[in-house]
Amino acid sequence: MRPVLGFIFLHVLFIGTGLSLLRAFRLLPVRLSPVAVLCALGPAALTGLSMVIPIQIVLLVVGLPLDPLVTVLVCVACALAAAPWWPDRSAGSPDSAATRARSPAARWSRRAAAAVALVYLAVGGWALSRLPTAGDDARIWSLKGLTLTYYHHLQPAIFQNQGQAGGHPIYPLFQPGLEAILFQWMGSAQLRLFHTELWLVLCAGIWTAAYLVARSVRFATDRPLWLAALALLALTPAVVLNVSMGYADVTAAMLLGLGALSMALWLDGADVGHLGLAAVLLAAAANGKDEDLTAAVLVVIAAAFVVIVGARGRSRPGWLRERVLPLLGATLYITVLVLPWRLWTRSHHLTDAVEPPLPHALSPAFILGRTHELHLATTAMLTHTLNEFGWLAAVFLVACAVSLITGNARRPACFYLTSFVLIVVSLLWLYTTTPEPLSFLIPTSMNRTVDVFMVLAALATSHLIAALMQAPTFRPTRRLR
Amino acid sequence: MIHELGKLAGEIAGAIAVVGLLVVGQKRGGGRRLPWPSLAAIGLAGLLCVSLLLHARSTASTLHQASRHAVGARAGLEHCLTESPIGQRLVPERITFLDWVKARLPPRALYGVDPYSGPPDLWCVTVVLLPALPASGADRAAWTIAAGVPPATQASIDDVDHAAKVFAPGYVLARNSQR
Repeated sequence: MRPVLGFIFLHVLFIGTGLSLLRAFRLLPVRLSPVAVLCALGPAALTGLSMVIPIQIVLLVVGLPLDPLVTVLVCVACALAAAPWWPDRSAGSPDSAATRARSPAARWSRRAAAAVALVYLAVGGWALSRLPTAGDDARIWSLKGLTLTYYHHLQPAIFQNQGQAGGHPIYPLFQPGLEAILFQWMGSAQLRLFHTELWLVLCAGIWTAAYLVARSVRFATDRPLWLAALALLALTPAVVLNVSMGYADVTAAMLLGLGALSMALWLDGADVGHLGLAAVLLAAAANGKDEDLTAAVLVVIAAAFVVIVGARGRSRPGWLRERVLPLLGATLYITVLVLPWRLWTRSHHLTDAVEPPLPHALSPAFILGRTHELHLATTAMLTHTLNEFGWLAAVFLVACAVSLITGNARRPACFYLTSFVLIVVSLLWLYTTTPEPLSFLIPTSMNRTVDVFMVLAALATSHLIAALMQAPTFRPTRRLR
Repeated sequence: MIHELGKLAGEIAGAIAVVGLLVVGQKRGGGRRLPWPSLAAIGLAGLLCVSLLLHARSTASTLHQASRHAVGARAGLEHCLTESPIGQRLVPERITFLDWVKARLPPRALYGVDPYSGPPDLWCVTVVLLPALPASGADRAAWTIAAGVPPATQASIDDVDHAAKVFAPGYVLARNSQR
């Protein structure tokens, strides 16, 4: 009984924290109805855990224990800190874009889609609930997660050992932290059930993407073709397999993709709540895996690029107030939640075996001397992208092109494309310059590495298709709208 | 790489062709007119639906396989012991030995592993023996786990160290003196 109650209570804590944050971000209806809360359960759970776990990692690094009491305190503190930004209840109607359907047919199609999604969630959760702990999950993620479960601190034998985690001792702690918190609340280490937890996080991520797009794009609830990209992501065998293996790639990639989606919605409009959510999700992604840390930095750089390019013709004070300062604030938040773990690993002289030899690895001469490695990495990356995700890459690129040409959602398209290209280039650079032999690295990692940009591509495609569906007309404008 | 780039280019061309066909089809046909970006979105979503259908069977198979590979809690934890690509014939006795060690090792004991040769690798042993931890740094191991002890050393252990527990020839769990 304790495991079930602990599991439920922890998720209620995350949902409560997430609802408070979503409300502060103005991503919930002003007057809440039960249906609106039901629609926001998945996003709230994901937002809650994306907020709480990175904070607990920071507290862990500065010496506080990772235990249930601290989890409760962090949840309560985050929920209360968000409360002053809640909107005034007296304004607004109980309906929201996310809960409103325009016709009986649309309403019933939404219910049918929700029922199918729930059945898929339940079947997947059940299928993954009794799998063994294998491979890198046993030696990296669950090893750290179990150590934190039992000891609540960064035990030197595990966390300060350079040989640990197959040469990746600096891997960040989002997934082990979630695992430890879950097991502590459940009263015992339920390793097999953690696969189901990862499945729930994946499904909550897809739910969050659907929620954000449906809220933000007019007619999205009546023309649900954009859901195809999200359904494709949920049904991609490589994604399901990664979750079933207990690896952190898809979890971190999902958080990154959602952070980028939320950032794009902020760039497209001016709702600072979207930027707040993007900061929360990107900080969590950056605490998920090393490549997602790099990707999160590149996503922020891409956003800064779009903000700078979009500044032309705008008044400088308004641009600074509405765009630059909020983006700087989000960057600061992400930095504060990422830096402590990185400083801790540096202070203990821990390095990753795949880390390129800096600064030589940045010199063009060094890269030109490794064209064979670049060729191998590019070929493997293309092969996995095309084989694992079907037509998604092509559809994403064409959707970006259509948006850029027609001016519909041009700014998000520019942002997505810049992020995508920067992430791909950075990963190719990493594979090209790493001292690890590619004969080992490519077969063991490339099938998972492509998740970083392909999950982002799926969420971006969903957003762009929804935006194009409501295109009123051709809008030929040269500026980034 | 040329082959893969060609495939991507072909898919992009296919997506553009689908969009083009829809636009041309609407121009020739009558009825309600949609803006061409909306038509493009419909075409692209259609392509994703085709990909989705192609994936669905494989995903169902993945989930089915997952449900068929269900294991008990203990087998789930010890699965990594069976993953070693080398020394597979040693795996059954190593699993039995580690179970035997785990039953005798105090829960939060600090242990050292010496001598030891795989399988399984030491990080798998570490996760299986948690919450006992390997000693590190200045920590002193209270217990020594040995697998693959040479016969001569084994004989001296049998004669001298009566606190040592012998699981089988070559497999020893010894409590270290606290001096």
